[in-house]
Amino acid sequence: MNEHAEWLRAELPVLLREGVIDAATAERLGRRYAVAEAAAGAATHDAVGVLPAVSQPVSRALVICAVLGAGLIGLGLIQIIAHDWDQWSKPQRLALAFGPLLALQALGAWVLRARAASRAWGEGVATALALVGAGALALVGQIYHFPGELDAYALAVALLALPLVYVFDSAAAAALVLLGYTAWLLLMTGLPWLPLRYLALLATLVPFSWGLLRDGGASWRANLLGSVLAACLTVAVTASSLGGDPRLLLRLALLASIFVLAASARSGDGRGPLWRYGRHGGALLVLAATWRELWSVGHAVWRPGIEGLGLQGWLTIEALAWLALLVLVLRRRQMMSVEWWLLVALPVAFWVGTQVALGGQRETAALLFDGYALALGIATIRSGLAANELAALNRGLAIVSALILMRFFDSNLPFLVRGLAFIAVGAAFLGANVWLRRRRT
Amino acid sequence: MTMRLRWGLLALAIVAQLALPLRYIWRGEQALAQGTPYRLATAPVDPYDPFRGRYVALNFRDFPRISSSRPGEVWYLPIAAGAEGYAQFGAPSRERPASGDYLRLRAQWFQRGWVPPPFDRYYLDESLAPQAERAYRALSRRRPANGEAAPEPIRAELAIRVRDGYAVPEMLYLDGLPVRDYLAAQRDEGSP
Repeated sequence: MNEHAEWLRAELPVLLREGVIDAATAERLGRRYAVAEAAAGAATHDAVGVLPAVSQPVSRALVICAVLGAGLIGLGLIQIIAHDWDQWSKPQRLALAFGPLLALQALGAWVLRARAASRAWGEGVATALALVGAGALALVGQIYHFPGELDAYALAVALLALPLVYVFDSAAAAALVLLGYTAWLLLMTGLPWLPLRYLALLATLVPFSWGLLRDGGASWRANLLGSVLAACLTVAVTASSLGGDPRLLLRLALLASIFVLAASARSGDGRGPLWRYGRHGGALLVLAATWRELWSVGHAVWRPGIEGLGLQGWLTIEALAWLALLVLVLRRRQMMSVEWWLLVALPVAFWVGTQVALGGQRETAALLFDGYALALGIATIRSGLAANELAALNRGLAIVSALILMRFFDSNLPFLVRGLAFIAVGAAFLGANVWLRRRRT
Repeated sequence: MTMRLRWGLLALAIVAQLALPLRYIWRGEQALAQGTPYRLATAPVDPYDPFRGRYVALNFRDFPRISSSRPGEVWYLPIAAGAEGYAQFGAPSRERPASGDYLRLRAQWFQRGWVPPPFDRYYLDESLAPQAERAYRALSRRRPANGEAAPEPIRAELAIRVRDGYAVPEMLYLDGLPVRDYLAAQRDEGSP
């Protein structure tokens, strides 16, 4: 076994250089045989002998350090160069603006040639190139006194970094591109058909994301991109929605529920960033909806940002996506927890709440969600107890505690009563944790 | 993805990362070398501009206020030399003028409601920018002494070059001197 693995390790760089296999395949083969060797008790190396392929957490730390280190070095160089700008002539300033960029581009070519299968090198050089490219553009703008067109800058920087995502298979660069797209969206609020333009931009990352999920759906790289995507989508939905209209809550509820369904469709076991975002976001939304003032519909203003399709159009699309994912998951006939069902049914609850609030019954809408939050908290506690999982138990306790505390803040009870209530809630929290820990041991 | 495709994408990325800033450099140099010179009298700036720092934030007395309802909307503003070389502006339009110089303007989100001039800042060394900004504000705000009715003299102005709708700031003048010379003179006189 070891002899064959040794041969493969020597052959992989050659096969990669000649284009017989791509970097992803080389890495998978290297990991596959590195794992086999470790099981046999031999020392291991990865596919091209670049990194000692020890456990996943150490490789991840190396990549993160490579990315951060490269990015900071690149930006630091630019800061140092720009410090005493006035002493330099224009040609000198331009040369110094382009110097780090050219050097990194040469490094990028070397990485592609000699270290194509190395995750650390790929992520590091892609991130550094994206950041230094942005820095060079900013310095040129400074030399010629460009006006502060941040939207054009954000979009240009994101699009310039996009090829780097595919060249170096870089999740960090993809996250930067995603942040650039979202910054552009925020700065262009009011542009006609803005959501569609944003979706078209997101589509440029679909092939990369698909490859990431296919090759290692539970990897930290997929989690990183998933986390950034979930955050960016939440910002995008909020930025493109009406101000002061409870239908914003309905859109956010749909988004949280779609995250939960998408996570279930992918893995079914409730892991990954989409599941976490859906779960936490859903719980926060439900708790926020218990606040009466949130249902105020006094000053809804139609913002031009969602012209063309309109709010109703977008709600319809999002509702259809939710329904499609629900059908997909239910077809698996898997038993889902009550917590899961309550998160998935969020849009229905918010639709009911919206109709009630638009009918002038703010108090009733908030009361509905008092009950919903309590049910979600109890269901989460039950899930935690059933699975013997401390995190789920604490999550459920946190929901119930937050609900109780919010109602106490709303009320006019004396401080003494409130103080005692807070102590009781805290004691219940601690007691439940101690009890579960003892039960596990 | 094959290695060939990756090399192709890397070449594209390198070319794009160099081409975009080079295009801006080319356009700027063309405007500075062949553009028509204009001068604009400056006006005080809102002291709470959040983007101050390494540049002097600029505002202009006679720049027309163009209303716009959408970010990204492009406007064209005819510009011609008036008395003593100071810029005079024509009526703004969504159509490019058939002849003469013009400025290409773009509405932006954080200035929703109106279209800003395409030269709202003048970059300086970080050690000079704060002094320059103080001087700029003081000279932009000066009123005639002793209640005189004379028009406010222009003591701070920006020289620009315009070519094909693209404007490049050439120099910021304070009291008739280039900004760096003005600050050096102030230092020599011992002014704060």
